[in-house]
Amino acid sequence: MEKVILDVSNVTKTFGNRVAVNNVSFTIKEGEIFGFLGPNGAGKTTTMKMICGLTSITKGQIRICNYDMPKDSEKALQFVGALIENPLMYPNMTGLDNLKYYASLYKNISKDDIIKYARVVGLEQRLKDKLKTYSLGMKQRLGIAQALLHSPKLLVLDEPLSGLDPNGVKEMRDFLKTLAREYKIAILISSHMLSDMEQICDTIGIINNGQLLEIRSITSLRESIEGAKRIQIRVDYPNFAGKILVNELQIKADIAGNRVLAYTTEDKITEITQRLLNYGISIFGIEIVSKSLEQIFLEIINNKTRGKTNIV
Amino acid sequence: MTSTFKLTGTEFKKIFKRPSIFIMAIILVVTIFVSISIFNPSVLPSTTVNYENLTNSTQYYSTFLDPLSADSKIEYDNRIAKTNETLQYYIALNTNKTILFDDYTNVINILDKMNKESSLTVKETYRQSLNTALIEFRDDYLNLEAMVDFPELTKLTKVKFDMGQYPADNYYSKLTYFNKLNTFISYVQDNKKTSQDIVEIFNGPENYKGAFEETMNHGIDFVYTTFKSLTHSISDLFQYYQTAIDNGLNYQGQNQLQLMKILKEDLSEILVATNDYLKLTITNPYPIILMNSEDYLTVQRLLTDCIDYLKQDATTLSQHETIKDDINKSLLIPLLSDLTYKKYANNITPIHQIHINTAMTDKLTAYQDNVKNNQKAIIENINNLKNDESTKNIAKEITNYKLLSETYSEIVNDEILLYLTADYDNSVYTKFQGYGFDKFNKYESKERIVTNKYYLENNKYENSYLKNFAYNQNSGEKTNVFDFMYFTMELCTIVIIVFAMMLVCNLITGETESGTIKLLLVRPYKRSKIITAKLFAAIFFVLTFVLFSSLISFVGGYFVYGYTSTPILAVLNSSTPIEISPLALMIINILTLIFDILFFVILALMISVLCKNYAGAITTSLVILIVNFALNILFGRAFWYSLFPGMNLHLFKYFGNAFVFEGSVGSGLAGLIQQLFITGIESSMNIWFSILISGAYSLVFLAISYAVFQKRDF
Repeated sequence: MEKVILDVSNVTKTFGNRVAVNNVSFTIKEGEIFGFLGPNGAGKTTTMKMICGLTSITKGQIRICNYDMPKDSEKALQFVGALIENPLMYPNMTGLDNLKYYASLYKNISKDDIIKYARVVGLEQRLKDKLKTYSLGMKQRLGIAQALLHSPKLLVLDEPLSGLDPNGVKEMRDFLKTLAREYKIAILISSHMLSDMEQICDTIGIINNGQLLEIRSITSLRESIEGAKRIQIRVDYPNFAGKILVNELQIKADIAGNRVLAYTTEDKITEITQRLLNYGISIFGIEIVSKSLEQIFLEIINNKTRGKTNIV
Repeated sequence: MTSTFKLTGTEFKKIFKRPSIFIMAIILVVTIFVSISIFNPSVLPSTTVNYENLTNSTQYYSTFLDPLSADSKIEYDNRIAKTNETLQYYIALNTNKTILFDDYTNVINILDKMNKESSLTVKETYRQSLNTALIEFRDDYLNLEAMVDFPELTKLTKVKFDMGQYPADNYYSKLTYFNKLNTFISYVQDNKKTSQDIVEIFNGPENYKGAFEETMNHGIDFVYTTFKSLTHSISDLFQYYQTAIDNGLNYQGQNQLQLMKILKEDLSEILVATNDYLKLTITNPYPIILMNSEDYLTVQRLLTDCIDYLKQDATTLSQHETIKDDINKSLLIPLLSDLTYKKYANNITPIHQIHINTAMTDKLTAYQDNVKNNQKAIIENINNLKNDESTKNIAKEITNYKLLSETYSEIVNDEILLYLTADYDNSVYTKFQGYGFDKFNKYESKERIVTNKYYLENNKYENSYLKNFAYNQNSGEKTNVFDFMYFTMELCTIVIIVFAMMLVCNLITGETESGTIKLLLVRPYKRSKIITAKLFAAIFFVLTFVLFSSLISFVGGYFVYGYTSTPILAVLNSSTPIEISPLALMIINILTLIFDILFFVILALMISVLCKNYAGAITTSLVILIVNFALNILFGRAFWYSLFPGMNLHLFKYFGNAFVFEGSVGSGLAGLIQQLFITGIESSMNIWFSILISGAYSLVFLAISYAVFQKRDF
């Protein structure tokens, strides 16, 4: 059984009358990468701030490695490395001085450790330069380096991929995966880019208007994608072809113009074509059509929101 | 705890990583250089007696003894004799007052016993002692009134004025009371009256008791009671005059015009007498407080006006009516009764005065003894030195003799002023201007008394010490490094306050605005530790910069002006004299400056926690600093301002430096800068009061800072 690193249960945050985060619960185990997915203003950053002790918790409980926030914040935060919003550090200090400053806030971090993490994020060559000469991507990487200095068990990264070029995104992705696999670090990551999240995360929490709508493992999401696949066949007699599929092959089918949509998997293609050809139907083209992750994501948001509206 | 220190260390390092820190240091050095050009202290005039063209001690000796030469023994002896007379007067007055009060208490006690005693025979036995006590009281009263050794004062006790043909029925005259006292004594001596009768007469409707009390009051506070009786008579006579006019020309078959004329003359006479008496209270040689200068001027103006109205001829009723209306319009009479009411409303009762008097007498006698002994010792020294080769030592002793006489007259003057103003706060300084109270501050007076007392008790005088630091005056006859430092460190303090405020705003609001504080708050430290660390880092910054500027100004001043180790006689908190080296006193001064800076650091801490943006925080901090300085200049001596932090900062004034703020503030830019800090000391203030007030403000600021910072969402 893997250890639970972060346990968020029934957490609510209100600013005056506005509910920013509404009754959110989830857990992250060691080595797991949890992606927080949602549009801007959905409550991702606020939740992360509550986890890191930057913002007070209105209601509910957050436990990090079994320590309560914010009651035992001094113990709990020892296990947390965080990068919230833009990684703004001290522009007049060099990269190395910035890292040294953050290292000095913990016990027993040697200069070698600092250099090691700088190398890990690929900034070894630029450490002696002042921060104001760094590009956005470099600052981002330095931000991650400072979050890793004290070997945390939980890494909280708010939009870590924004501002990186495609190459940088790929490197960062691989890097985070390595951290999770090899160092067993639990990572909480937020983004509004589904494509990024899909390739990094083990679990995705979809958040909108402060509510955590759904928590899905990436495998189950993939299955949904698989399950949503259709075979689109262009034929000369679509109605006839449809009937054949339904009656003889027991495959659910729809007709759209000169196309038949078969709700089945790819391994049925041979059987379908053989049968149709047997009945003398001409086939002009066969395509596999799949739903995109975005569509599934939007469907989840729409369904849940509509469902909620219906209840109300 | 260790983690807080660790955080403090990282914050402190962060401060010194900033490039602006070097600019700050350069500005500080420039400030010190600028202050060299502004610093222009006046040279302290030498107090040493120096007979011109005399070259040996014998000549000095004979000149000193020569009654015809200037700066001779006789001149100083005269000053001492004059001071002695003033002192004798107050001692005699106090002693007589105390005796009179004791006599009074004695009489009242005997009457009380007589009243309570049930046995008639025992009751009668008290009669003889009552008689003796009353006669004693009467004799002592007359004795006090005479005060034969002090002819100037008799003018005030024996004021004579003719009451004219129509004296007021309830004329509050000391004569009336004194006559009543005599009547009562005759009852006591009258064997036809029983002792029970005597007690009843005393407490009865004839009000012998009241007359007796008033006589006692008059003896103790004769100036005021005389004035009171005059005002009551004015009020009564005016009442008669008014009634006569209202009754018309014929009343009960009598021609009222004649009566009106007489009353008009009587009234005129008593107004003139009152006016003269008022003048006498001002012109007499011993300070007397009757009313404050504003009231005095008003009363005098109204009196002169009314005397002028009454001087006009009046042969018809309508002319009398005009005069009456004019007097009514002038509002003189209500003002007079209001004034006589005020004094007792302020709880200045005669009995209250007695308590002050006894302590005063002891103090003054002690000074007199000190002076006698010191005179003897100095004269002996001068005799021994008359054959010395060098004139230096004899000149010093002659100077001591001169300073002794000055010290003595100063201390007696201060003691008497304090005694007279015992029931007033420091506002006496403004209220009683023109009564010998110009430039009078009670704290300063007390401080001067302590210093002078130290001189007298140790037979050492101001020429043995340096003066306490002043902005524009040397502490000795030559400028030394500490004079320069005292001036320069003041300028540096202003600069450091501004830097420290900017820094605190940067450490908190600056980091909040830029977002870097988030990367700090996600570390395993409580928020209270983080804000403490930032405060401590700012404090270390302040200490570093104060040390830095102290060292530079010390080294610079040392080479330009030179060092001195002659001690300074500082008075701590207007009560404890301490002989201290100027170096040690300078260190104390710097510590008090650090106290000031820390107050503003804590203020900036609160502002920076409350403000959301850096520019706003800095602007607010600086505006508050400037407002504080402006208030210091405008209200630095107002009583209400003593509850503001501005007046309770700059604690060095409690180290014998209260002298500085009276008249020794420089002119021009330097003077302006000095006034930013110089505030007065109210009579209710002392060092603990100031620490309490500024400390309380600091604690409130700290509490707000911590509470807000801990609750805040970032």
